[in-house]
Amino acid sequence: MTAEVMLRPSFRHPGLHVMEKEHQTANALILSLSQGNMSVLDNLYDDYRDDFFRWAGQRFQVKDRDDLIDAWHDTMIMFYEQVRDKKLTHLTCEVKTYLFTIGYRRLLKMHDKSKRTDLVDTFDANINIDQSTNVYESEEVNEQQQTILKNAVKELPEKSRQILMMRFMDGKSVPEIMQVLGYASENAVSVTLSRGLKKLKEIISERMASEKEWNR
Amino acid sequence: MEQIDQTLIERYLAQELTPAERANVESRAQRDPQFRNELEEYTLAIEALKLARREELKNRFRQRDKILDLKNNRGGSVKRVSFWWLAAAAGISILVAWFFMFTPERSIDQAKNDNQKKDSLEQHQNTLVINDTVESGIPPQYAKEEPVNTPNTKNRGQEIFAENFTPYKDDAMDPTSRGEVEDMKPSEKFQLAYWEGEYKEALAAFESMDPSEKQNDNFRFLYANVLMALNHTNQASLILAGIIKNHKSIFGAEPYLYLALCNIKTGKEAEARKNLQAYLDTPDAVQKERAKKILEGLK
Repeated sequence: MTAEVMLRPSFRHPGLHVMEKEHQTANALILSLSQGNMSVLDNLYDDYRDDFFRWAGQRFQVKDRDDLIDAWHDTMIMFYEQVRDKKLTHLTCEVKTYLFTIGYRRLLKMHDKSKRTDLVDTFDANINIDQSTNVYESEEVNEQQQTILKNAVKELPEKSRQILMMRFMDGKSVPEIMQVLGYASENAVSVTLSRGLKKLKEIISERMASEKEWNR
Repeated sequence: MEQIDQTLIERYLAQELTPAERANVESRAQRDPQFRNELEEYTLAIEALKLARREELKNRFRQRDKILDLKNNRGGSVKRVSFWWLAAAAGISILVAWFFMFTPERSIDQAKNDNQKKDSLEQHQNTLVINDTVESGIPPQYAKEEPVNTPNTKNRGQEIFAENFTPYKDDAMDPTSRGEVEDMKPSEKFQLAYWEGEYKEALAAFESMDPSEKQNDNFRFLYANVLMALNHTNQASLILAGIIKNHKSIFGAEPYLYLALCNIKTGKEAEARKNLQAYLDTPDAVQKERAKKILEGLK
């Protein structure tokens, strides 16, 4: 599934060429981020954080600023993951509109969950983003299991952890990893990678089995 | 599980399979419970990596929050004092403008060689005293350019300046091995911003440096280059003159060349020629070809 954002016809106006230029910029940013340029994420984070706080603060009566910060963190992470997983490859709206829509939904979810924020009104950004964007995949895994997963990664040797992150999170190929980490051969990378992944899988299986046993 | 299966699963998880290969893996997982179990366990391992990356990102964002909040707080205090900066700057700018309008022009070489060099040097030293006052008192953005000798001379001078001025750099100044920007001292930020051509940031970093570092002629030489890049030529001239007089900078004769460029930009061609000649007469000058070309252009 590709989380493409569609503009409604009513949103189009005579200055469409200007918007198209903005979309080209947005698409260039997405491409750059998908290639591992994390400064794109940093810049988007910085550029829109305070605007989001002001905007969301007007729409929700958020009692705690930390809620807004959490929502913005989640928003940026979801955006990053959509790009990383190639579910978001291009936009037909501004990045800001896209981010605010995700942020708005995140706040709604927090509102529903905790009742700590009061909804002021509804928000229609005239865009259509798949609702699944609002849910971390790991939210389907319970809290106890999440802790097991996080701790399992910490148990790995640093080198293995680094290689696994590069391969599966940054999308680097084995030759690229060999070059960056200065390995002598691709085979050496592949072996370390396979052993690391297997080790991680075994740690998780072991901890999950213990948890099952404990809860029996 | 066979090695071939693990490699297949790794490529599946790295999203490197073709749609057909992917469909095959998923189809086999439906038919083969052992394979399905393996696939599920490996998928959990990837989920663990995702959670770890999420933690890394949250830490990254927390760091950015600190920086942004700090900037926002600083922004408030800057706004509060900006009026007073403006008022002080306006007053001192008038004094600086008055000073340049009524002070006779002298080059460093004139000061050295002239029979009246004693008077000239005293006058120059007075200039440097004013320079220090200017440096500590006025943000350079408020500094006013000096009056021009003749419009034609200045136009030509500005053209020559534009053609020949690039802020001084050599490989020894490359700060690429330094750490994170937020951990840097102002002097390191200054050097980094300078190297990257971010002259406004370099200016701000210089102003945050320790007073002792700001008096260091090596930093002052780079600072003069920053001022030239930001069109604060008069202030740059005064600093370069001071550096030449002190003879302490590791940049050797280079200040002569840059002072000459300042002279050219402000229409003081006679002084520029003398400073260029002084530069060319110095054995360790590294941009002699450029200096010769500029000198030719002035004829």
